[in-house]
Amino acid sequence: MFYLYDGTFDGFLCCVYAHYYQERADGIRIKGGEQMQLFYEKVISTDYTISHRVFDGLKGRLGQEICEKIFRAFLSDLPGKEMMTLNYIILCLKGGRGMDVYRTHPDILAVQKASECVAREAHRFLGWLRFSDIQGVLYAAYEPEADLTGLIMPHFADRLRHERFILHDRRRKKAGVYAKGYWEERPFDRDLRMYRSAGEIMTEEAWQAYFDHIAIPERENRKLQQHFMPFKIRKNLTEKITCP
Amino acid sequence: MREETMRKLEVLADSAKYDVSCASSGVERHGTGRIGSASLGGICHAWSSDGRCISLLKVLHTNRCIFDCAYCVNRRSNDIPRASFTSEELAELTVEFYRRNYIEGLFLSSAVENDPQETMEKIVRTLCLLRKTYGFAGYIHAKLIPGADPILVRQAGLLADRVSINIELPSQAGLAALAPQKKPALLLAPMRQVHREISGYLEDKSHFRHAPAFAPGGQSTQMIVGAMADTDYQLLQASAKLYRAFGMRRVYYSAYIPINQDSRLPALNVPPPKQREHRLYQADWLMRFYEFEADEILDRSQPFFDLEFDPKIDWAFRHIELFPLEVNRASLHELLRVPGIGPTSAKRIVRQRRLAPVSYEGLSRMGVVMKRARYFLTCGGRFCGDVSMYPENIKNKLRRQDQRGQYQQLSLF
Ligand code: SF4
Repeated sequence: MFYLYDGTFDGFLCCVYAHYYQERADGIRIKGGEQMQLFYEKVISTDYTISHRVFDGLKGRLGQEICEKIFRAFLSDLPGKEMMTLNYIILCLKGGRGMDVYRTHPDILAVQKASECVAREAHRFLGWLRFSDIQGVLYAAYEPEADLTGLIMPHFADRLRHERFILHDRRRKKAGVYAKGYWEERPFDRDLRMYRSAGEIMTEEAWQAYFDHIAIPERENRKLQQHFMPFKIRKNLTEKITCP
Repeated sequence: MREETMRKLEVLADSAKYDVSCASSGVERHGTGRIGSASLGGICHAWSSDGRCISLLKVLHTNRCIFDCAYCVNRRSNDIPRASFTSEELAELTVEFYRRNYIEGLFLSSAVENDPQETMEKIVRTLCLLRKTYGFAGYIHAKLIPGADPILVRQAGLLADRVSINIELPSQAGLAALAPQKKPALLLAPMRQVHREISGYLEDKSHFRHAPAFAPGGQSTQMIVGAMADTDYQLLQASAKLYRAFGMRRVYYSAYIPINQDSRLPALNVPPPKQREHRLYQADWLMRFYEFEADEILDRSQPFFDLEFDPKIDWAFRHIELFPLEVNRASLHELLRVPGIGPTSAKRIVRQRRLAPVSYEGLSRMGVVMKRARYFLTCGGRFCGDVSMYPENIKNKLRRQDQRGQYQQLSLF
């Protein structure tokens, strides 16, 4: 059976449930708007009681660490990530927690690599994000490969606990919005950076000046700089990297 | 942000940039204070055009100095723009940059404006303002000023995550020649005090959960490479001693950049010895994570690093009789000595082989760099080095790989 779902992690967990309690999954895809449904396809609607039950079950049997891997691998941008993650779950449920050390098994390796890749990207964005103060609300825009917002929000919710902030994923047209101890994800597609005040621009210029002055000219190494700050992320940075 | 603050920032960043440390690692802290947190592995925010990571706002409180250390841009005899931040200015600047996620925190150092005591007081005052008035819980690295009162050193340690004092030169003779006003005793006393206070704090922590933290990120120091005729062996020995005697978290190495015209120093056109610096970091890494002793890496008969091959593979060449090692039998300590195997892959090998023997193909999946490791190991008895075990043969193979551009190393700093 080919399962169609809404693209969320909860929806995916419902497909996992269907795989075990209804019919074997041969493929899992996000359902497209107009597409005609074929006889071997079935739409799985997202049911939070089921998804929570599946997740708790996985956590009980496989432990926190493996569940986090599953979650991160699912957030990746890879085509076919659903079946990849499902195969990993199947293997782990069969072999128990110890399965995870079999890095030599292709299905295990795939998920581990995806999870590491997502974790790495999330970590890098913890540094790369730049907020602008827009009338007291901090606003940052970014365009990550993986769907990182849910992974990153807790870090800033802790760090900027008395602020209000918006973390805008331009690619997915959504944002994590935080205020007063709570955050949620919602659809969002506005660029608030154009509302920066003169004072805000001055702070940005001060940072830019610092950024230029802290470099040691005798040790210039643009290649290394580019390795750590690739071109694709530069347009959302405050610092403008001038190329000689 | 005022024009005035901006100008000071430029001047005081220029004056601080030759200090290499910018790490924000070693402390995990959440949910305290009003703003900020610290994350164990540290976070880099930007990379400047020299390829170095910017994690902390690295500035001097002032660059007006009564001292005249030969190697320093800020020495009294240099004619450069001078400026001083007020504590208020600096604390506000830090928090404003921090909110916008430009930085992980502050690295505050200073020249000695009128006397060491006064300068240290100013640093402590700024830290106090940040921690107490702003409730700032981000990372703070503070420099200790040689000659400051132990009470101020203690206060700095209670407010900061890391404290440091730069030794700069590995020998007394070097210090006497280049920084005559800095008496070795004045540099070592605060290091010793910090070491003692940190041990005390760790001891207290095991009894009382709320013992006040003293520099939980440890202390660090820095040495200049190539300002004097010191050998790599001397530098590495000095560094091993600093780790041992003062429980240093990190020793940093900084290739000397000739900025001052001075007969005691290399001429202005001598390029900084970056490759030596790089080798020192690699050797330092071997001491901290690969169970190497300083004496194993260099000795009196070989006081300089091989600039072509890294210290680990160089060690393997000098002990070629120990190789090839069988990965399914070698101990963790032995695995760590194989070029191309790191601490992570070594642990993976040990974990995996308890379940099933490790296969040759499995090794690269576990993160082993086979281009280098293949010459030094066997896997289930199989050797894939495809060359006889003579260092020269292996070196030639590696050289040919390099030429094909496969082996390109990124410098760590
Ligand atoms: S005391 Fe510090 S700032 Fe002053 S000259 Fe010496 S190294 Fe430079």
